[in-house]
Amino acid sequence: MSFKLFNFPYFLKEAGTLARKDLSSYILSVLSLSMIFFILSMTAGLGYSMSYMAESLQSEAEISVYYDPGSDPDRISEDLQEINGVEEIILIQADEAKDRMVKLLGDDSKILALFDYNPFSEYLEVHIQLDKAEEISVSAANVEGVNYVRDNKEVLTKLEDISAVFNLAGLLVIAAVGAATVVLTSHIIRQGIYLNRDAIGTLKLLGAPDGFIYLPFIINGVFLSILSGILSLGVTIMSASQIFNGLTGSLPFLVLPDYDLLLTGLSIFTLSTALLLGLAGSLVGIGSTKPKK
Amino acid sequence: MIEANQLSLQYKDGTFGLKEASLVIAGGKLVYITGASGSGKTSFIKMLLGIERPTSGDLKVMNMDMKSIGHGELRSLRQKIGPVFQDFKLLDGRTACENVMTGLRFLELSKEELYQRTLESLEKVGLSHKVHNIVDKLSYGERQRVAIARAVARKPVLIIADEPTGNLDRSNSIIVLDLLKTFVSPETTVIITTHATHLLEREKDYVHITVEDGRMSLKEVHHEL
Repeated sequence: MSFKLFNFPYFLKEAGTLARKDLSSYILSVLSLSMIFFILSMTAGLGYSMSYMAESLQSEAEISVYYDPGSDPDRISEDLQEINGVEEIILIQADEAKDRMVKLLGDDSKILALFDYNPFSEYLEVHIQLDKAEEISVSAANVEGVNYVRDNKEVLTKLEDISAVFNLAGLLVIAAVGAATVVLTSHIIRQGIYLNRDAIGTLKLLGAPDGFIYLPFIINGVFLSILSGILSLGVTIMSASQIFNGLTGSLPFLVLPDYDLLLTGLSIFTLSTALLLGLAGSLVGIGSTKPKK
Repeated sequence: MIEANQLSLQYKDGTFGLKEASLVIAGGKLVYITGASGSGKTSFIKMLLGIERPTSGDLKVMNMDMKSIGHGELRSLRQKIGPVFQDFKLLDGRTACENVMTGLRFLELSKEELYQRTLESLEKVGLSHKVHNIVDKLSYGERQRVAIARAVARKPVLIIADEPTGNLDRSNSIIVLDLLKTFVSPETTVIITTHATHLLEREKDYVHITVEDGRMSLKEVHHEL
């Protein structure tokens, strides 16, 4: 059958008729799928944010080197520069250290006003290659005059672990969502085919090709899935906005991805997943009604 | 057009739908198949439409062997046939126009031809004033005329009407049969099954196939009315 563009409104209309014929099942399926897609998009959003945080911190890998009072920071810098993997060393004065903390703490920085003096000391901020962080920390601690070396490797490792767990959970959720969507969509398509078995029989007797007969069912399944995806996105956007506002207010030091970029990515991901799963579900539903040869 | 040789159809329960029927139906004829309910008329029609396959013997429709016909070939064959059924088999909730168009949409027609053939065929069956009426709201007689319009709009080589008057009163039956007869032409054969043999009294030239207990016999009838 050559596809004729002028038949497309007919297919759309037939798809609409199919949905109306069993409207209550259709609405319930949309609601169920919406909830499933909501879980999918929230998991995907969380997984992406965790990965983003881990990558951001990794790209800013640095250690802080504190030295004994009276030691010469220039001489220590020269010694540190000799260590393999050290890229840049910046001397951070006590005032700047305080300013940075004020910025990091946001509203909570009022607590620093309780001190009569600046509780921060000057230190050397050493930018390093992350994969050599451990050796650099040991070598830096052995430099004469160095009192204490603080690295964030432990935090990074934990963040990477959490990120890996979220990615794994994300994959499992995607697999579960995929299976649930395909099962639900194929069920409603199968039900539609059963309800319209007489019309399908008539079309077959008239010599209609399978593509012509079943295209409205495929459109119906894809539309069901995309409609659910759109509904879930609405709920996701509302929830994400609340979560973002909460996190940026109470944990201002968290490195979160750009909100608009995250939502755009989530929208594309959720809708394309809905499209593919709706298509797969429809094809499975149609395939399961065909008589075995 | 149709050749049957020792054609039989035996169902799984062992009963015969048709037994060793042999006949030839030439093109361009009006053919009536009569017989009591359960005599085998519908079994023959089912085989002509490829719904059932012969269990023995041969059946050729438009030179297609119905015993071994493939899925694609059967679809092409059906596109050349205009079927009309006792229960109309129209698409509920759609208009007369939509029903006729549905039978045409997958044929190699342009959009203009699609509309033209639809309107012409509805006009031929006298329903040009009910083009946009939902078929569920039409009378039985009108529904059967929509089904006939759907069949003839396809410009079929063979029109097969299985008990087309089965659900109609006498006056509507006559209207439907007279209508079907008008489509007989050198290019189109019309086969009508009916158990209402009294309706044939009005006919003069036709091929009459009688079916009794699965056995078929054919004769050409030429009456002077």
